[in-house]
Amino acid sequence: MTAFRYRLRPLSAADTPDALLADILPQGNSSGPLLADGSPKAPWCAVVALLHSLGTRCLLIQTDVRDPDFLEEHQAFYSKQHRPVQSACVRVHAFAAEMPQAGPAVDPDVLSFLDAAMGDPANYLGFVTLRPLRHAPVGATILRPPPSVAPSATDKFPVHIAGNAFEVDGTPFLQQDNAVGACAQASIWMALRTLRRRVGNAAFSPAELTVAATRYLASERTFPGRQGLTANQMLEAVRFAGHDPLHLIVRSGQTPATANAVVAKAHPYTASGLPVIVILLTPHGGHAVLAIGHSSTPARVQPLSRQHNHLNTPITYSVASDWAAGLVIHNDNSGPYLNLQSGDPTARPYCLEQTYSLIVPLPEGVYTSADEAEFLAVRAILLASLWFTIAAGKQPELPQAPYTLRPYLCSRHAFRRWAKEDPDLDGEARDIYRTATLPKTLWIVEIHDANAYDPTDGSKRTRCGEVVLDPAADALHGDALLFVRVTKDLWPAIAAFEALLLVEDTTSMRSIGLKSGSRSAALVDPWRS
Amino acid sequence: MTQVLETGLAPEDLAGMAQKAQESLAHPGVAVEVPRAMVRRLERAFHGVLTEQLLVLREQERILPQDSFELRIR
Repeated sequence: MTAFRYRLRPLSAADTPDALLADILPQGNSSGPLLADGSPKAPWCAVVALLHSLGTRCLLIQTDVRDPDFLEEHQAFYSKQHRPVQSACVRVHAFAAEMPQAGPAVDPDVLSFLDAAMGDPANYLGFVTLRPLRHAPVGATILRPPPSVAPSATDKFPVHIAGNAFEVDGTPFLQQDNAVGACAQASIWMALRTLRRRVGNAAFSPAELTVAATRYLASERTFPGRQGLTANQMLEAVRFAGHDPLHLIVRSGQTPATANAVVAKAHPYTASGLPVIVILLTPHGGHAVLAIGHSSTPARVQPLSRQHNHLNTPITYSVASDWAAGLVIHNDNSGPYLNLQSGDPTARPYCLEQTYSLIVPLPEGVYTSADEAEFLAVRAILLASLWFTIAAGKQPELPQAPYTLRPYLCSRHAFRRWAKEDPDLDGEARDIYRTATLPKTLWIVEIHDANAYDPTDGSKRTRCGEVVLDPAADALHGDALLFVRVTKDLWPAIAAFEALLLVEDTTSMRSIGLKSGSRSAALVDPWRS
Repeated sequence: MTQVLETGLAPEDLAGMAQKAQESLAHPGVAVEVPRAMVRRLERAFHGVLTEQLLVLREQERILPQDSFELRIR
């Protein structure tokens, strides 16, 4: 039974990060002191805190793990050292199930436990890979988010253990090793690994990302990679992996960005389930974290954020990011599922105001940015408003009720699923949405009643329509509009009509009066197909 | 509260559009085709909406500050 690599141990509130690590790692580990003073142990401490908050009762310790990411790091760097560095990792799986009471550590109880745990999907909470590096132990890790956090850039990842197929719904996390890669590579790794199953593009190891980033734009050695990357090198690595990186500069010269501006820029992408790499300019230099969601509140946290003027017509509306106070981030040097909020950009704690730029790994064929989609949606709403009001015998009017726009990218399958399942959507609109020829990916801009909108409750019927756009169109000159649907809620003073659907195609525009002007619900998880 | 939407459209154009809009909204479920010339006039009327703001935003988002080539992210 010498090859048996599994053992169980309970997790109790008394387990400190240091003691837990000492117990988990193999006896006689050559790494010496496990976490020396001054070593970057914050990620491991945060991981242990997360295990506790998830209600972990039992840990399965799996030794001699050939982790593909660390094998690449080992081959690229650590294998060159004279003093041997192990290439095998330890993986720690977390379970909500109680640890069996009896039986020695090395016995079939482990398998019985695993087989029984399979019976309830809620039992498996995820895993942590521990690299044999005392300065940076936390390798590839996927744990569920804590109950208090609702990230949007997540996926369901299969995990196979001893013939059992478990699944964890979360966002991959990794601590930089500060040798093969720095935070720049770690943030890209987390972003691409999150998207790999959904998009199907490559997700390279930190070592491969370092090589890809420095192929054409290198000012010094590739390894050690602790000097970090420039923004251009990061873009090259993301591009090399098959994504189309959108780089949004939010800092203007020496003037720090406002927290609201950063959240507003990132929100449409995190609402699409896309991870956003946030480049920070801190008092100690550049740093990168990964935004994997936003922290929404039931009440608006920003005043009316959009006030424009067109031909002396004031155009005002709010956007969904007005209900978000900050971003949910993975920070490779402090831990997973943290909050990035407003703060002092000259102080040490990371804050939104330190944001320099955002990198969004867009899916293929998305040429329209969120800002462009928002403006195209406003134009479409004005067009619909003109049509609705002149049909009632009035002069062209703006919408009478305040409205909120919620833009996001989603697959046509997810859009059709919403159309099929929302019972309050007009039947004619439903049939058209489900059967029309549509591009693979869509920009959807939902229109909500601003006075009732609550992003924390997806069941609320606050949706008064939507604008559907082709993300591959030329936003400035092309034909991006596919549909605009609006209900009577936007014009409370006009009782004659229920709702309107305008359909644009290559040859014409069709106007369809709808029988039902009932409000519908938001598509809560547009990235789930 | 009602707010007039300025479009720059000629009254005769608006009258034709109102007829089409009335035709469709008063008969729910019936798709009314809007003549292409009318669609083009509508597109022209709304093309300028937020275009200037959009161009400004594009400039702000795309131009890398000079120090971006020096900033090491680590």
